[in-house]
Amino acid sequence: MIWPILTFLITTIMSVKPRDGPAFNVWQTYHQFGKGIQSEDSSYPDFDTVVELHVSLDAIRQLSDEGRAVEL
Amino acid sequence: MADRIRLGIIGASPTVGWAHRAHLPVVPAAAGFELMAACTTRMETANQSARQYGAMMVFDDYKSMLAHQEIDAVSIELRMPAHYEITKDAINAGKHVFAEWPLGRMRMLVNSFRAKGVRTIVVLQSRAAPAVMHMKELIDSGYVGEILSCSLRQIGSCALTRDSGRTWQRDVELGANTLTISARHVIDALRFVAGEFKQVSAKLTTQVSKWHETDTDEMVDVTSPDNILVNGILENGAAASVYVASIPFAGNGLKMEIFGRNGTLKATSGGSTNVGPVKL
Repeated sequence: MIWPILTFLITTIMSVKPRDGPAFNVWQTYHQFGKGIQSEDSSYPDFDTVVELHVSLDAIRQLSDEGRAVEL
Repeated sequence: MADRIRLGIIGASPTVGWAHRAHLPVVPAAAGFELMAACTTRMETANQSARQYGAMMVFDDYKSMLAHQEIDAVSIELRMPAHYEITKDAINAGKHVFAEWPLGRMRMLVNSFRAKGVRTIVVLQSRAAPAVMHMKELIDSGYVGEILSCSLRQIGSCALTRDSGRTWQRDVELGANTLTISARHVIDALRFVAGEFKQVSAKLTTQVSKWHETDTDEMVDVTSPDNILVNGILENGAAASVYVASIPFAGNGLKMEIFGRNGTLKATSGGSTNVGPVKL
């Protein structure tokens, strides 16, 4: 009686938990975020991180527009 | 706030899109979270998501969801042009925000989220890929010694055709493209494992200036860059070379190599660090 229930539970857990790929990575970020909200831990990328990223993206765009190149 | 963080997903389509691929299936398994609400533009799809993934409430208007007391946090899973307004509204409603990169004008919200006392996380999920996290641990512990140089290549093949649902990726003004998605994620991974850039030089080009839109059978103009070449020096003095491209055929994914004085680490993926899987 107990085995069908156990098998069901195990297969449910296995099917819900992603083990690789995009869903896995997003699942991990939920854990990071959950910890951040509950415990003031801030070791995850937030909007401040994004601003740093924008700065480097803007630099890449700007350099591409202005960049010196030698015509051969 | 309740013991568990009560989450609502905006853009919770049950059949297509990023929420369907990577958010809805994982929230019920994420420790500390409860999938409270699904919001789409239509009640039918919101109901279907709620049934499939066990959300308690459904909305076809995100503002009503933001006004609800029993929502602590929201994930915003929409196409990029819609991110800004909804993120702003969510912060103003006092909700924690789980936001997708790219975020466009999001830098304007940096002060408001702090003033409202809410938490924000941006899904730079390359940093959560186990192989990338392990790579960082090894480098930080001195496994390769002093980093002398880094090489990063990510090549995907989708340059010639898209369906019209992706048309927002062809316009450089809309902000979601090979630079802001593919290149940004792998450059983020490189910065995460090897350190910040101190100096860069760059070239962006659009090699394929028209796409064939598969469903409308039209040729449409493309202004977004599809080839991204970045060279630079990291703060730790390492030389770094990055090439990210969207090409017509046989894109072969990711190769990120860190060459240190004591050894080399190589991460590879058939896709990329953000969509994994990544092997070290």
